[in-house]
Amino acid sequence: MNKQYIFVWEPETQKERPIYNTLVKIINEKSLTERFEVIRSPFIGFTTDGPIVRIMPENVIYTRFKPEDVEAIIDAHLKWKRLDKFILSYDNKHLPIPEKDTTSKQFKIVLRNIGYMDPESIDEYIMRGGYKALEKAIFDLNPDKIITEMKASGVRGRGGAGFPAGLKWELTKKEPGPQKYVICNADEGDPGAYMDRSVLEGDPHSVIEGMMIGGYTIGADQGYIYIRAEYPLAIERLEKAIAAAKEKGLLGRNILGSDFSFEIELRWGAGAFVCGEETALIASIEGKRGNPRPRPPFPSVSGLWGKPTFINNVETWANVPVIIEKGGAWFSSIGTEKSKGTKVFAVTGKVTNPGLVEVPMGTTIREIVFDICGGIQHNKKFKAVQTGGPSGGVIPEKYLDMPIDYESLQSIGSIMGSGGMIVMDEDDCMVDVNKFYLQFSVDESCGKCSPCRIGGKQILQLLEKITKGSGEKEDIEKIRSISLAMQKASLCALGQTTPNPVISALQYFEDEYVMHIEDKKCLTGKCRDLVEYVIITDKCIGCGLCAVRCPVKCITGEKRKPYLIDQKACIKCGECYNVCKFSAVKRG
Amino acid sequence: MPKMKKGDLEKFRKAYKPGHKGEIMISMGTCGIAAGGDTVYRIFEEELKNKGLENIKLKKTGCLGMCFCEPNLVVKLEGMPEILYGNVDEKAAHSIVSEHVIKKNILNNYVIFMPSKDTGMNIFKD
Repeated sequence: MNKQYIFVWEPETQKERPIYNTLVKIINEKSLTERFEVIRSPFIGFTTDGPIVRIMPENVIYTRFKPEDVEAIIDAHLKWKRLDKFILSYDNKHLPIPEKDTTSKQFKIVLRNIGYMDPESIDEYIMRGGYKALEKAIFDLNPDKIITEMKASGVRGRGGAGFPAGLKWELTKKEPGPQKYVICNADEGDPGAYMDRSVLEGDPHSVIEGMMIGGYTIGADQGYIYIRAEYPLAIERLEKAIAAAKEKGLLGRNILGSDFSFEIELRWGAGAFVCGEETALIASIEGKRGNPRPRPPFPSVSGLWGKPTFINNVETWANVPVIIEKGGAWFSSIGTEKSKGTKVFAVTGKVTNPGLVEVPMGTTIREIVFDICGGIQHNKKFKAVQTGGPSGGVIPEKYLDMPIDYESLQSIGSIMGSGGMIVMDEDDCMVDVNKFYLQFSVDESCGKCSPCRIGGKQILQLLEKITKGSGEKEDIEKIRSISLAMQKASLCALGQTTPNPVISALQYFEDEYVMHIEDKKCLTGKCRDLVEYVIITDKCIGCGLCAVRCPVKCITGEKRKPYLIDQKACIKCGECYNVCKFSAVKRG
Repeated sequence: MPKMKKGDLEKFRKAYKPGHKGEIMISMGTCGIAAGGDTVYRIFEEELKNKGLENIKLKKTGCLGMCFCEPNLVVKLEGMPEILYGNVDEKAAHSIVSEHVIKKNILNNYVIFMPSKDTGMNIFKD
């Protein structure tokens, strides 16, 4: 709905603000607060001795009216009309403002500052309440109290696995010192995910503050941010933020005059996906090859250089200052029973308004995809959502109304993951999508353990075979058994989760696999070897549009006579199918 | 700069005066820059300088999350609602200065929505 803004200016002499108060009163009485907003305007460009009201977007200006006339004005504007009696001037360019208030279902905790302040200015961060939590943590709380708050908040690791953060704080603090480390995992690598990048680019101080509170709590004086070198802007802004904090005495020795000292350094990742896995990440910081190692011992016991290490993801750290400032109880009031707080999702794919959203846990996928992100592009049909990137699974239409939390997603074969959400429509082929994810995981496998190295490759080959039209009935069973072996025997989460997209696709879209294998057909046209485009001669009116658009010029014919596709030269791009206005091109 | 001590943060917050009458905040995360945010930023820089609008502060911010309409920016002026413009091209950037900032006319065609206090439940947003 379009909203109208009413700007009111009243002369200084009218201290009771009669017009403003009447406007507010009438709007409240008529429950029109959604529709009208009254703004006291200090100056709107006219000099007069009586009050002025200007209504936007119509840009109608009223003057010389009395408080008792206000109701008539509102009534007229409610119908998008004007009340000519008191008009001073108006612009006739009435264009309703496209009000897409897509954010109302959101709740911004992690993204609290992003877009509202200059990330390169520490002053603005402080002005928005930054480093208040750090001050509180150092001077008003002690480590045990902080851990109590963290546990009460119920916040869980936002990197994807959902480990209860409070427990991790406690475990790491319990380990004997003196040397401990704090790490921020900013090695975000899922295709289509950019939550962490946005946080680091838009609000680097919140992550730094979170890490410092973590360091203070467990007794560490050194932090590392492991960030991918592909994020140059995030690196630049982090470096500026660290330098600015040091200059103000918020980082370094004796922070805020206390005896707590903390340093943060950046470590760049060279782009290996597996380095997002905590043990591989630690190896990479140590200067070794980024290979994972078996756990236990967990990093909280023996991590960086064999010392107790406190490792969390960017989003988890960004939550910390808010939890400390507002308290664990406040935080735990948001979300579902087992998953507290909010989650940031990067919604991409076939949605009308792709972007970054932060919603309370328990929001449904329908709310995210349809209410916040505007639904599927070009009015196509929703097919599925992939969450958790290459380690997650698909969520079909029947679960659109399921509230999102760690458990519910797991129960339907997907995972929360770090927050990538790729929306697919009816034009996406599940086998093709799975092939993409498998290809990604195979490329990123470090090769240390054989289930991951060989298993992934085998599944990928089977998928390729299926999309080329030589799939056999046993292939589905083969995929399932390889998947099981990978899940059970792989060393780290990368190998264990590589088969997830395929397993979940087989759960909900098995008929699509069967169609590829038995009928050798791909309804979406994505698997080009299974598709043929034919012009139906009865329907073709010979307009020649397809021939014009064909990128390889393999469609020939005369005007007003049926055209013909040369199958040998056809590259199956589907352009003719898309441009034909008479449905004369058949895909099969 | 002297190092901050306990209580200095609060003093700083209280003593801070904005010293400007309006703000233009351009989303300039990697995504915004890729969509042309830096060109828009440069135009604003020039326009504000050329027109002598020194009391309008130009700021870079991170990604607002509205990647579907980038480059986007927020214009906050005294006495006007905060307006979010999307898909701001070079032409729009010039008109925002001449129409919105100077003449206080909202450019309806580029408004994505008009944020009010209910814009998201942002806990720290004033």
